[in-house]
Amino acid sequence: MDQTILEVQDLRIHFELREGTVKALNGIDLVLKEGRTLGLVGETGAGKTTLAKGIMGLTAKPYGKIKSGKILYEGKNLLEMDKKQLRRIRGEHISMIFQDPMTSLNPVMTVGDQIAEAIRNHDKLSRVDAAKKAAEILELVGIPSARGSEYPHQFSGGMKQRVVIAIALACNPKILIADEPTTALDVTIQAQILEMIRDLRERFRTSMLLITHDLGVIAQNCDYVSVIYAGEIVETGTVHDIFRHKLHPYTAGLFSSIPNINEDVERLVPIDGLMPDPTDLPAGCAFCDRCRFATEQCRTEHPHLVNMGGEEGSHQVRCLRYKETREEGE
Amino acid sequence: MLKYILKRILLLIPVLIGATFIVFSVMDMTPGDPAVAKLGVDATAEQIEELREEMGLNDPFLVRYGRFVLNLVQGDLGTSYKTGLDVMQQIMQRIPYTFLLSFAALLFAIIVGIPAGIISARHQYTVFDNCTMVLTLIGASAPHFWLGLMGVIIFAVNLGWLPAAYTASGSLALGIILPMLTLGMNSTALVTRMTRSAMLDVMNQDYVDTARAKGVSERIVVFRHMLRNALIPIITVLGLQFGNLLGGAVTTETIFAWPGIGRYIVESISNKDTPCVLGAVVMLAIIVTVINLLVDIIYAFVDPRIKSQYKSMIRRAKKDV
Repeated sequence: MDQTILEVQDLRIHFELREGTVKALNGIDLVLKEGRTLGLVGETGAGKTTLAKGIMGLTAKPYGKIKSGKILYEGKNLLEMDKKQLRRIRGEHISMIFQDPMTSLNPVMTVGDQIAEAIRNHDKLSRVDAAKKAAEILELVGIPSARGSEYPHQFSGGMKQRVVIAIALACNPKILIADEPTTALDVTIQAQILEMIRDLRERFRTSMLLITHDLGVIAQNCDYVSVIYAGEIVETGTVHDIFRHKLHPYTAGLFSSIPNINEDVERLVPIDGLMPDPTDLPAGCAFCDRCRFATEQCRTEHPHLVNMGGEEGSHQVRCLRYKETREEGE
Repeated sequence: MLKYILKRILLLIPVLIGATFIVFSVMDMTPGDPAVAKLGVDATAEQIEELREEMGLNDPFLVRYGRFVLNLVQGDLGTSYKTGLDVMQQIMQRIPYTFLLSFAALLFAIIVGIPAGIISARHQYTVFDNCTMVLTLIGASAPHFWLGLMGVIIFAVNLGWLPAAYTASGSLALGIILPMLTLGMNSTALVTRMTRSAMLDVMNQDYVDTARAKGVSERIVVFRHMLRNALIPIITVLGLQFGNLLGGAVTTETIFAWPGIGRYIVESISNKDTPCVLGAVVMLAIIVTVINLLVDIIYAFVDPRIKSQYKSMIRRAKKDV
């Protein structure tokens, strides 16, 4: 069994605004194994980006508050580290690819300088050597090194995302957090970027947390999947567990709302309703208002994650009625 | 780039014509006779009439204005009605003082305003931020003449720390402090507010998170990633402020007897010395235009996106030719 490199335990992040407390994350547990890819899937507003930023220590101040939990990187709690230790982890051990390449590069610095900045920050290199290494990394992500002296506005969206990836991989991190790395891109470019991430990841044996709302991306890139809903993990397991033996009605809903190439379906089945207001979460299961299996018990009793065994014995589901849904799923 | 600069300098011509025409008309409409001012109240009607004829004051308005423009084109600003001295020479003697005062005020605004704005933005809604916002509101609203008089009362009369007015024999370094603070207060307040809001805009940008995710220190995040991006609106305000400072120099220089061009204008207006007023206005218009042009050029160095915009503008212009 692979070693655990990153573990999130019972992470709660709330945003305390004047209008009320937004409960963005409500007790998240995640396990990322060394060299593997964990997919985090969920709809907009489920807390995916909050989680990614929380792991990076980038929770928006002054409203964002980490209420409880641990983020263990190689057994050490990132939340207990001082700023200096955390800075050493960021970029060198854990780095992040952001969602929108259009806005995640500094418009007044050349891309070469932005990559070199990440390198020089962690390796004691001279300016010239760092520039040389930045040029190598640019070539690695498929950009001619001569373009290192250009500014972000001179690049296309796909090229910018390559630069963002180059920055993230500049120091050869152990963990890469990719927050919807292809959402803002053209479909044709999406495949290229994902393939590139996959290649580089395998080459450097980087573990990855891949955040997306695209199940196709999960199927192609991930070993494990966690489904997040209203700031909670509702189902987690291997890709096989989730794709073949999905148990949570929300997971099932996600699958039936995308087209399946093997079936001739006239209409897709969307999940009715909206995610509950994160300032006013229900007492029971967060999904009960949209769930066709929901009973009175679901409205009052908050479900816990239940281990269902599965392929590697790690398939877990947060549902009171998993027995019924299992029968239906199979 | 050169073509762009040239175009901007050509734009100076309509600006100068407009400004001088307005000043010329206003000076013409105000009561008082320069000939009387020159000869004194005891002069006879014949003497006055003779001098008016000699000075060309009896010609129609447009002829007089046309004559002024013709001389201006040849670089001749004429001579003072009152003293008969060359206007250009007089202005050149005074301009260094005005520049010194304006730059001191601007420097004060930069040195105090930008750091205060950064700290305010980084600690939004804290006591420091709230105090700064109140102080800058007062600083931006208080008129120069009031600030100047308060400064004189407190620091010169009551405390006796600083001289109340400039004297040729006194220390320039001490003498400039009160005028600089008076003139620079508005600009400092505006620069602080602009820096704060520009920094607040930039602080939530994704590239700031990218920078933090690299693990760079907070100092680098603030200066290299935030401030450089916030600089464009700050430079715009600074450029505009320079024009305001030259305008504010008129009152400030009068209060503190500062021998600059602002006080020169005030004196010339009360003497109805049209050539001197016009000369000073022309000079100020040229300075403001050049400063604005410099600001536009600085933009290109701060923000590479603007440089490529200029380039494509020039490319298009070349195609048209």
